[in-house]
Amino acid sequence: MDSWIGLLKKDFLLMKNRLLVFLLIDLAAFALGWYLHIREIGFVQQPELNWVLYDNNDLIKFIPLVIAIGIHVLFIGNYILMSLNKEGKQLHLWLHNPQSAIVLLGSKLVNGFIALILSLGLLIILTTINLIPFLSEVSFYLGDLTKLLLYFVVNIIFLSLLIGICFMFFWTIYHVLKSRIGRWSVLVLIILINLFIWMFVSLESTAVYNQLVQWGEYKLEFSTLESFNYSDGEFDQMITNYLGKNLFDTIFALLLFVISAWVIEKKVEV
Amino acid sequence: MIVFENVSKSYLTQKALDNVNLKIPNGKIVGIIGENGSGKSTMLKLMAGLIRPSKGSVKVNDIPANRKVSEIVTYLSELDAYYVMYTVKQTINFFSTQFKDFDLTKAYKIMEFMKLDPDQKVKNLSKGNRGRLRIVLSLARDVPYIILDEPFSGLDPMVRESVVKGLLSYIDLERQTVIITTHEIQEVEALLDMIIVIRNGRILDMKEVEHLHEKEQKSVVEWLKKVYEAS
Repeated sequence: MDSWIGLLKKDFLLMKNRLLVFLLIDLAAFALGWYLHIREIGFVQQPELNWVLYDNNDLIKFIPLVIAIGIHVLFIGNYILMSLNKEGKQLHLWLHNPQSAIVLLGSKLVNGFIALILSLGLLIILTTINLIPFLSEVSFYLGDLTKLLLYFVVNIIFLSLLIGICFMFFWTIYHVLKSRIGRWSVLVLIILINLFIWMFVSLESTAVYNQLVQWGEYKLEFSTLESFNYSDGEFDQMITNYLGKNLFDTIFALLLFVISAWVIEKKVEV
Repeated sequence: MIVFENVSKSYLTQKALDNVNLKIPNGKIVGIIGENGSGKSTMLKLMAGLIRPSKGSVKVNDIPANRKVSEIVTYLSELDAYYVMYTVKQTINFFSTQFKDFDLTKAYKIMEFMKLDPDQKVKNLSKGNRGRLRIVLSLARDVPYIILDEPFSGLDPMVRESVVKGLLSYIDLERQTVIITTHEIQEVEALLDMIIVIRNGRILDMKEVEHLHEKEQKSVVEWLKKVYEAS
């Protein structure tokens, strides 16, 4: 247990400054929204109820925050890649360690996850701050809005983990290639990544894949949001998902993670 | 015992080791000497399980040397690499969490012996003090094999002396084997029990230092020159 906590702490401290930069970027997105909003209305006004509710320019405050939240699908991937690249410069220091590669990589993944939660948490707080003046007006929709936000956040976290593991996998492949084919490794890696994406996209369009994953259908209903009258009245059936797809993605991620650990254990050299 | 059986190792097109057969007995301080690029570091990395042979096998205590061998081998790299965010004390503490056999009390004792400030950031240490810290981290482990790759590289005579004293004071040759590569042969000659000469990835010769001194009346450097000239 001490070894695991020691690794987690080391990996956290290794990336502490980068994490601070990410959090500052989140704050910058918040500030940018306000800057755009103030520029749009031309001057700073006291937030009176009427002005807040009926001025469409108010929406602009949310745009940088929503973009920042969306970009978080790549957060864990980038975070892990930065952390692994730091280790890559002194591989013997990282790999001369009796902990298994699963533990070494696991610590990176857990750190990436914690950093994502911190960054995403900050963005949600900032979004909520922007929402406060609207709260009384949207109280009727609050339950569904929260559900919708939660759904997107959970999906962003899940996707970010999946992409993070993919990045981890290709980092290990790169290190194997580097010691075997030298300067051609980047080119071969790019080809392999494209092949990987093509295979994944091709697989998703096959009937076998659809049969495999399209079970355990669940729908998320947002009945109160119907009154927004956004589309054709089928808002309550907007989000449909499959447990099979979730399970497939989870198994796929676990498999890639185990392969990455195996590659580090058996193929990567310092 | 560390055993190399028909070991060859290539990096891309370059051959680093060529069909090496070698048995390193336990309880000795063994020096591996040779010119730059002769394959010394490759041998040590193979013993530490950080690289794999292209051909043949390397075994430590009859177990194939892979990453797991770090449980019984401590490896000091020739590279000056650390986790720079740590202080000296934090570095020692981190290592103590990773290696079950790491003796924290011994580490602090060697740290004091090496006159290292526990609260100084590693990134702010002089090269000499970073070298001392590497020795602290290596000698504080209670392992049967201590592998040191160029522990004196770039260090001034004062630091080299403290490293040698550290080796003499904190190694238990009843239970530990030390394998060391160095260019500072005279510095460690008095320490060594056995010497291995390597050139172009091939072992040229292997001798007991005592035999060399008493029977052949030669210093290691004189013998090295003779072996190199004959090769």
